[in-house]
Amino acid sequence: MSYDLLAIVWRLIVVVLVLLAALYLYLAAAKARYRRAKRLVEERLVFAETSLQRSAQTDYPIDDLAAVARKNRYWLEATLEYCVRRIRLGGTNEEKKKIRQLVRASYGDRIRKHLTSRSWANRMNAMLYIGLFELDEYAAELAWAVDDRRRTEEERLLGLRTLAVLQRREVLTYLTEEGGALSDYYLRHILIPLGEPLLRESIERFSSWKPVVQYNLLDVLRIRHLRDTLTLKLFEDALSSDDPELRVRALKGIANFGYVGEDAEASYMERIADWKAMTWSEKLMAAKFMGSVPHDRYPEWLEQMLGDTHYLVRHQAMSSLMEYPDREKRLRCILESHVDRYARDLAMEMIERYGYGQHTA
Amino acid sequence: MDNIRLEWLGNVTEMLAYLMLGYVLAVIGFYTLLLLLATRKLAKERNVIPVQLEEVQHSAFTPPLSILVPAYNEEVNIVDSVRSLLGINYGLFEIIVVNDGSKDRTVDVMIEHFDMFPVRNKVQWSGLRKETKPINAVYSSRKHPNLLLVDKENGGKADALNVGINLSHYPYFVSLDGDTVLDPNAFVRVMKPILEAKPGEEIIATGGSIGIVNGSPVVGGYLKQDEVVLPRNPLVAMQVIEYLRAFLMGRIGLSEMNLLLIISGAFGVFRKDWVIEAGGYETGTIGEDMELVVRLHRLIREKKSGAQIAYVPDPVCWTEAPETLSVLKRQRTRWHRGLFESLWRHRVMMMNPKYGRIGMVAMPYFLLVELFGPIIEVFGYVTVALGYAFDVLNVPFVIAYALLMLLYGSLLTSGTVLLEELSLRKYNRVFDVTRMMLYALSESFWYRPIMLLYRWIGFIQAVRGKKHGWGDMARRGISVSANRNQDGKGVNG
Repeated sequence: MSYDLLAIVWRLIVVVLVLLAALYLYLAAAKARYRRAKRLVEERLVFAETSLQRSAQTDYPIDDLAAVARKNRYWLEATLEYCVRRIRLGGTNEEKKKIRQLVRASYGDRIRKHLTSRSWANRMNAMLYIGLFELDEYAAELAWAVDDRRRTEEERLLGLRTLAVLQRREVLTYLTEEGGALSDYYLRHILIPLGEPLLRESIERFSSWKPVVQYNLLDVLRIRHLRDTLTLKLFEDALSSDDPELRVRALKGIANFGYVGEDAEASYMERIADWKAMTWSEKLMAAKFMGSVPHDRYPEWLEQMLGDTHYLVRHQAMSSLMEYPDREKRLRCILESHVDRYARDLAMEMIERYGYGQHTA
Repeated sequence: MDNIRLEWLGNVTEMLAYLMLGYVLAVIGFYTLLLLLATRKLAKERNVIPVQLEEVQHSAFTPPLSILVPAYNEEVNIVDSVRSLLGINYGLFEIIVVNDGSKDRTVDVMIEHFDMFPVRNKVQWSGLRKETKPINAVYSSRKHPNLLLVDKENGGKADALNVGINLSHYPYFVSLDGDTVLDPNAFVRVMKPILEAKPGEEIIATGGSIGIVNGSPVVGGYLKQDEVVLPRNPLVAMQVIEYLRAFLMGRIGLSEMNLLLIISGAFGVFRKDWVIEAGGYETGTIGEDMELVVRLHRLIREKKSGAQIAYVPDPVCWTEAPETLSVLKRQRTRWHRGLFESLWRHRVMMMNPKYGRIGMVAMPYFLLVELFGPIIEVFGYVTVALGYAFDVLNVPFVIAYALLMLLYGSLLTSGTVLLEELSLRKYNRVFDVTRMMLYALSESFWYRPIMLLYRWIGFIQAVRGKKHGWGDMARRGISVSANRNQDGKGVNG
């Protein structure tokens, strides 16, 4: 028994030694290969940049370049790397069209294969390239990938986002059915690339969205700076919602807009009058709103907010108050007479800050 | 001694030997599991093009960050560190350097380089109800409005971080060491799990991996990524391997199982409201980073929350490792004392089902393997000696078994070099890989016994209740110019 065990241990030692040797050989080869590949790609990239740049901007044919890229791995890497870099810099529609042509010619035959590859990385990269270069001929495969429950969640969401980049309406259907289960991050990443037609349709379907989709749609509309009556009406309607979070997002949006209709403003003023009943996030946004959409009545409420229990609310109230005329006079008045100590501290900090700013101006 | 007693002692020794065998096999099994989990994760994500990062970076929705940099006697490195922070790829952030009563010119150097002026009235933002040492002055920068310097009386790193928390604006903060050099995309990467959290899922802290910068060129606060080399100093080279093992194998594996009990104080992101609710950093302990994470885990369980703590292998921050045994000894004894204190403070969680996997798996692992590991190891050697003395030892078997364990340990360590190839790809010279494998093979003959000794010392000090401090790390300086000034040569190890 003991002898058998000893024999087993010695055999295991041999196995481990072999594994160690194999691991070393693999690593040495992998590192050497990586360094060589990196050097080759860098060399080719220098050359590729010049010729591809010329091709992108003129009628210079790309067929030869694409043929080499299809045959040689390092050329393909260099070509894709260049195209990724170039398309992100922007350019004319013609230039982008040329880049897409080159990607299709070099890599196109592999994309379909990679979309269903066993390698997760290949599948992800295929979708990333489709999205980057807006290769809309693969929309059907992407839609299928999104519905394929065998894929990881990250993959399916990337597929959905790529469909959004390709401006496919299936995205809106998906958001209606399953948008409620997605995180804010993924919702925004799906909504952000939507073009104006789809965003308008999203606005029209607003009431059918789950709350989390509504919140993120308002945020996306804000950063997309859509300045039209339809968007403004949406923000104003959300401002009078019973959902406090919706009101918070609407306030952010309107603060960004810098304008609100009289009726909506009058209606919201009634809420502001009872600002102490708001959640801290709504107070914060209300303070921001009052700084961006000035009104004679707001400074009074902002000064009251300087005594709020939440630091961020106080700070925002102060920042908004500084948007109104007679800044110094207001600060000194707060410093001398505000009942709240924190408000007086904040006023002192602002006086020092503005006082310094004048010296270095 | 009569035969019966001898026989009894022999039986006891044999039993202990079997216990030791079981312990070693369990530890090896656990490490193998960690390695497999880490390999699976990294192999899967390898080669995915890093396009999505830029979307996070440029997103208007990326949460703003407060970067807290506690500094003690960092005049050599602080400027490069802050410069590297000012250049990071991230939307909105502020940097708060907290000078914790340095005896050198840390404050003067900061004021000079960043054109800083005293701010008499600085409102404290966060309600961390914890007393801190008095603040002497707060400085703002004319060149960089998002840079703040706080000069305070010495109170330790934890105290400095608490001051930073109090003065920070933003909902997330990052704790960094003063000698840290970051990858420009480090923050973007480390915030990704937080941003991607699903509805109902909450990530309240994430940690990144730490690399060793010794021997690699740092110019103007930036590490030249393509020129990272394995340091020539064997002690530092061995620490590189140790760090790779700890981060790429240990932390990825533990994070995959949601058993992560530590986020390095050198680089970790925390949700401020959770940290405030947990009470901030504990000043009476030396391992304040681990102690905070354990406390957060405890708070998560006590609140019956689904919040998680994650680890991201991608973001790398680079730090200077000790180059001499004396400094290394101070560091490792301090770490072991910190481990002891954290586990002792939260001993109520140990094997307590109320704390789920953390209480039932993570805490016992850290206790039996990390904390008591050196004691059990020495006990093992004693058992072998006793076994030999009482003639119950199968010498050929023990020799073969010891050799197998030695080689398998080297294989696990070498496995982390594979993980480095799958993920970071910083050490790309075949020469460096060869050296790493040789060090992995030789570790048990020189480095491991040294670490065993230091951990023993740390354990004894902890049991005796030794007082702690920052620990005077002898700074060589990480920048190229600092190194040239010091010895007139280049920077290669």
